[in-house]
Amino acid sequence: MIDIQDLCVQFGGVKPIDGLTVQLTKPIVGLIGPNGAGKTTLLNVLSGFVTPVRGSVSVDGMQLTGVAPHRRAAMGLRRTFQTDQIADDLTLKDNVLAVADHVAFEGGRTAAEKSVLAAIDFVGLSHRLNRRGSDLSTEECHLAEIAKAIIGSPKLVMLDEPGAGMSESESIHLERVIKDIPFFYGGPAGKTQVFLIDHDVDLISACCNETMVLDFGRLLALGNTHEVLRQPEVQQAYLGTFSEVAA
Amino acid sequence: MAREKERPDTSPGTPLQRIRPLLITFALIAGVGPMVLSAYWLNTFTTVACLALASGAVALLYGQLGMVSLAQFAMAGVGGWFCLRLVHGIGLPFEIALVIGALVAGVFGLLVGLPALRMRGLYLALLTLMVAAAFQVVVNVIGFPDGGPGWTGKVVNGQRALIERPWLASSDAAYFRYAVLWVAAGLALIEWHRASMPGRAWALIRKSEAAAVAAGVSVVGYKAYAFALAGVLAGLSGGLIAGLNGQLDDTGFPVSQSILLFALTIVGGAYHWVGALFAGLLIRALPALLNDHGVDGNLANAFYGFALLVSLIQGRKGLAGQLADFYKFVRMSRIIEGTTSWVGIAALVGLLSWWADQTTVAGAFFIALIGLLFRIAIPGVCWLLLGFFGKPVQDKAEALEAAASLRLAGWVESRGWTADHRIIKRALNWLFIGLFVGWVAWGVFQVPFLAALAILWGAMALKVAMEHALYPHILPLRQRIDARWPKPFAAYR
Amino acid sequence: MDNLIPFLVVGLSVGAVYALSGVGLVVLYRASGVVNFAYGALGGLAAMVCWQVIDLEYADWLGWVAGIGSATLLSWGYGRYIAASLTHQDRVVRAMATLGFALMIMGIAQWYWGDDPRRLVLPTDASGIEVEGRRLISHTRLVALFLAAGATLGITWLLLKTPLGLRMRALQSNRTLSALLGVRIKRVDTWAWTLAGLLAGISGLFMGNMVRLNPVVLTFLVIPAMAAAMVGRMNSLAITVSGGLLIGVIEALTALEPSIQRYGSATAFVVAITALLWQQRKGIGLSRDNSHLE
Repeated sequence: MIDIQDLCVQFGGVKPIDGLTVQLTKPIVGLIGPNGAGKTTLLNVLSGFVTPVRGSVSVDGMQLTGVAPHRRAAMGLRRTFQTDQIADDLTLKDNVLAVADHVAFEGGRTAAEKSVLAAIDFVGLSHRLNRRGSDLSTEECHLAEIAKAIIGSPKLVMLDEPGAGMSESESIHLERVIKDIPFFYGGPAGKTQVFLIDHDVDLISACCNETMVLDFGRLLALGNTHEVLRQPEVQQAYLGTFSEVAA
Repeated sequence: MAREKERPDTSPGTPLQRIRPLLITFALIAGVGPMVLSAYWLNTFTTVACLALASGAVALLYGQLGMVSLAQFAMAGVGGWFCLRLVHGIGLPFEIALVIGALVAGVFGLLVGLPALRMRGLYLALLTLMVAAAFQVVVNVIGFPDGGPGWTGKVVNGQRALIERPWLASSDAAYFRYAVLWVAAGLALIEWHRASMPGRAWALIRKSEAAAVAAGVSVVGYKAYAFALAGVLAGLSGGLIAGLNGQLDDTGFPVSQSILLFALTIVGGAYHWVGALFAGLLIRALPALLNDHGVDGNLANAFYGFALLVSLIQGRKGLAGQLADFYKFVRMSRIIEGTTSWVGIAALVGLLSWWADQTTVAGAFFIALIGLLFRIAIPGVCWLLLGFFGKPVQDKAEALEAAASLRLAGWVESRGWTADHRIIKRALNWLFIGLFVGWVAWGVFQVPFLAALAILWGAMALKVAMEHALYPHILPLRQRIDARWPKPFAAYR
Repeated sequence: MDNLIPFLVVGLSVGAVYALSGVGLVVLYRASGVVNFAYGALGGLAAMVCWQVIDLEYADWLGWVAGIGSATLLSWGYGRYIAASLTHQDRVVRAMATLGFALMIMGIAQWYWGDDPRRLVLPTDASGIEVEGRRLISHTRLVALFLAAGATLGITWLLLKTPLGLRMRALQSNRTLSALLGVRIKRVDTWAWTLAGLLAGISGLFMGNMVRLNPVVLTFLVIPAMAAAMVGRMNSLAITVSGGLLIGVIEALTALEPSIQRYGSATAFVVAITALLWQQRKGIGLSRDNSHLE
């Protein structure tokens, strides 16, 4: 569960996030909004790269304010980035293993290796285990990022436009993967929450149980995905409205 | 590219697998070197080995983390300074002083690196440049310890003292082996890191620091560790040089050497340990060879500048990378066949030339072996030199050569002989090897030039004859070998 | 105070040439993002060519033109052909390439002219400002000071008031965006390199006169020049000039104190390191494009 209370972020004169208060409880939550709405900024606040001037954020009851970015992974937060972050000269397995290296596993190295293989298998890339990072296709890179993000029973996995550049069939595979993430570590209610940012409305409506809409740093709507997408304010924010032309 | 088929991905290997070629190579060098080299060249190559270690330290920071450190040679100076001071001042045994000196250099490296952790790559380059320049001034003033009093340990009037070599390694040959073993250990340590957790973390950091942080990697910690490790290795090399000469020259650690070390690490290749070896050879052995033939060292510097420019324009993988690229398609069977037949011929030729009293058996044997080495390396080097003129020229030349060879081979076959489809390349190879290796043999091994030529060309002729005779019988064996082992350099990048 | 004046004079004039070189470095960095390690080498070449022409009994001014011209020409050539092929690589690689360029120039110059002691004499050496019968400051040094000030003002005018300067500032701000907007990167870059070469040539002549006429020494004088540029954060011309003058003065004054006298030549480096550490004292944050920490 993500709990955001009166969050306010300011860069000079710009306020990417302005007084945001929201609780996100469903297993897969979507975040949409027009460009500049503050989506990536919110992600950066959650990751710890941006410090808010006001407000607090907590995940599953753990306060995040003041926690250094590289400690948040150990606390169970993971994220992917819009641009590819797969190391070119490591194999896919080593790329994911690099993340597993920094997670404490009971059972040491063998447990770590097993979890790496399981994660890669989960995203459907077992046949690319030893392929160099520079030789992976775009789709494979995005899936590899997801594999990296689910290592070590994370509490929250934040995906920043994971579907960018994917074809129709690749997007369908991605949908299946994302929908299964909460249940990868078992449990009917799921152990991992997914926070999905994307522009692809089809992906969002296929995967997300609830969706949040940001506009100019403020909460515009929150609720069941299909209902939110039908709201006139949401449609106006994305598409604008026609103004009356004077006769 | 049409040649690249869908080949199975191979895992890069466990750390032990990855350091094995390194250890084997250095064991060979340690074993064979003293048997072949004169005293002057033995000392030169000892320095080459030490500089290779220093280059490895530079490559660690640049290749693994993209960080330019122009101060690594100064770190070597720090390590050497403390090693000398401890031996003169407290009378510590050389090994212990060497290790402590290296650790102190590691601390210095860490101190230099800490403020740089927050800087973008360029500022680090400038900072380390300033540190190296400051070190030059400081060392010029306080000098290297040579048995004197006070905290600098410098003798003002009177006899300067040298430190003694470790009792295990007092002769030149023994010290050569001793130094080579230390260097092998240092480079193997780097390779081990690359193959395990630190290497993976460094790769993540190199790709994107933000993503590394988000994955829980402590960027500050791993960068600091890399600085410390690079400092320790550089310090180790400095101490080894001090042990070789018994002293260090006050003017021996100028900024220009630090800059050259960096430049030649790039030229040699910062992404593989073979590159470090090339760098060491370029910094020390090539100038010595050129000196022997009256070529001004400054022209060598100009050439290095040119080589650095070319390396950077061509993608920064350096000599090691380019060679590996070239040999990507070489099959295992060819390697095995070439090596065994050549060793046999070398032995035969050695005996012959000994019987004809032109040179010692060992000398002839090793000339022939060097011929083999060059036979392997020359096509790659030529390809590399063509690369100076750009990839299009390279490709064009290769296409031309292939076309001409095929034509010639067709003509030879129409005469009823078995043809080699790369005739032209082989012929040029022969010519070049004969002349170049003959020159090296004359310069380094004091073999009369004509005798060396005769040995090399005779050996090559023998090999061709053998190949022609045995080819139909060997073919099935070759096919079996190729089916079992994939191309050895295919996975390298 | 009286016996400090000669030190101040020397310090200010050498500092002025550091400042002039620093300005050249900063301008090039601002326009093209390249730290030019070859700056000193170009200056050294200019000085050597100038000396050579004068030594061959040609007119003095011909020597100056030849010297400054050769530095400008080489710099133009590098910018037009070599820097252009590297333009999409990161800053570190482009800076290292200039290192290669520096080694080439230095190697060839040192090979051709060697280590023989030589002097580059400028006509302004002979005269100067005299106070009470004692020479206070030679005209050469005065010219150096004025040149440093003049160059700063001239370049500031260029950057702020001319179309070329505007394009240079655009490229500094965001290369890709500027290119998309129609700024011709290659052309602007080439102008920047030409200007840098000109400044390198001029400062090379003065360095050759005031420090030593030796290719290797002159090549490595780029380091104190970089120190000055680092004080100015590779950005502010005024601070770079102040930094250069400061370094020159401190360096000269160290001669007065016996205990640190011999470390005098390390002044520039210490100043640069201190400046860098001071500038970086804030914490680590994420860069604008989220790709790295800074």
